[in-house]
Amino acid sequence: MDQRPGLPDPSFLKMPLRDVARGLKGAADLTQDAMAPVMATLPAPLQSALSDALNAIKLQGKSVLTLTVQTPEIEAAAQFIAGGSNDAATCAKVIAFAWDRLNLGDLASETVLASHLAQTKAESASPEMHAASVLLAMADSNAFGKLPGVLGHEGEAGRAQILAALVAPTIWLLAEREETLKDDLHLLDLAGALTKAFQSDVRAALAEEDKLGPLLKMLAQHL
Amino acid sequence: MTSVDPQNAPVRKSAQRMRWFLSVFEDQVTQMEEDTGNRFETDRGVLAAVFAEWLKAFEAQKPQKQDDKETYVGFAAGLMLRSLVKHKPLRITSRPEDADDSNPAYFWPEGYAYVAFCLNVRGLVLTQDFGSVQQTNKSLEDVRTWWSFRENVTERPDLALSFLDLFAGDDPNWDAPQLFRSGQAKKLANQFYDAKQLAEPKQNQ
Repeated sequence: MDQRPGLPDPSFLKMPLRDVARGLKGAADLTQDAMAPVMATLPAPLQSALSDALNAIKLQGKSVLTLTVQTPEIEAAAQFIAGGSNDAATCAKVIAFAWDRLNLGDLASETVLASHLAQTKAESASPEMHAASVLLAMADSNAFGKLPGVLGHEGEAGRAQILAALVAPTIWLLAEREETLKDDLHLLDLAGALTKAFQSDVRAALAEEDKLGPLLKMLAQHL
Repeated sequence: MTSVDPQNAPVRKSAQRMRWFLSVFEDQVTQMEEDTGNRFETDRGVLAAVFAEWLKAFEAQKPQKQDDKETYVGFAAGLMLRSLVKHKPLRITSRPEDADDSNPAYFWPEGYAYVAFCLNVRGLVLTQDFGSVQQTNKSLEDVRTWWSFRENVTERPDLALSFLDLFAGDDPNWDAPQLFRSGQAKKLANQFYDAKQLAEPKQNQ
């Protein structure tokens, strides 16, 4: 009889452990990228074996990462984004979840993001201006990219890309909530599609940051 | 034509939300399938792009004057039809064996579904938000008009606005349909008033 325990439900893992799971997948991605030039020079059987091994690691990371979030967590994150609460940890969990679900980029570290957001003091008159401040703070957190936690590892171009990617989960959290979790997660997918369709406007607003709040409000209202 | 459930209110504001648009469009397609026997495949990614393009166009010419708001409903519906015929989110996968091609619903099933959606939303907003009733034109059932509609909008999508006005019984602008004409509501009201003034003396004679 097989006595091995099954994989734990990632929803109940502690924040750093979820980051480890993300790292497992990310490390395999990075290794595969880094190995690409060398792979071509290897004999075919070795190429295949190496590729299979890396894919197995990625799949393992991905299976651990099949997590979700619950309605109260989404509501708490929405309140944080709009300036109505201090629950940075839950907001970080929900944002990292959205990052993975929408496949917005390389890696997201909940731990780094939560720590950065907890120290962020954003005081604004309106929910959308507060959301804009949080969005900028998230992009400056070094929580996203190939090496989360490493200061300035993505450079200016990388920061702009991360900032643009984070618009989708931000407008999702600013928008009116759906009645069921299923519908709310579907709304997140729509936020991704809407942001993508408004990509040029998003990039223009990011260049002039005082336009960011009004754009977030407009997109959230039309979601 | 298949109708949109009038329980979804307030319509004018709801129609500017992506979640409402996708849900109502898909409901409309389902009803259209039941009514006609046609079967469609919907590309949700393309549909999202349609909404985004429409929203930009809608915001770009949104009138400030209260008098223009009602006229803008028809214009906005035309903008939506333009995006739908341009991006083609629907693809017909099957239709009844005995489908009559002289019926617009079978002559151009996708186009018919787009027009039905735009007219239904237009009618719903006019009724619920402005207390007006949309009157459709006989050309809506005329396959020759549909042939012209399909040919013209393929070459020039802006003409979708003119054709929707035609189908809705309004006066189409064929020259620059993509530009909203402010003051049209007043002009139409004046025309009606003048005509009434001319008619009344004859009745008194």
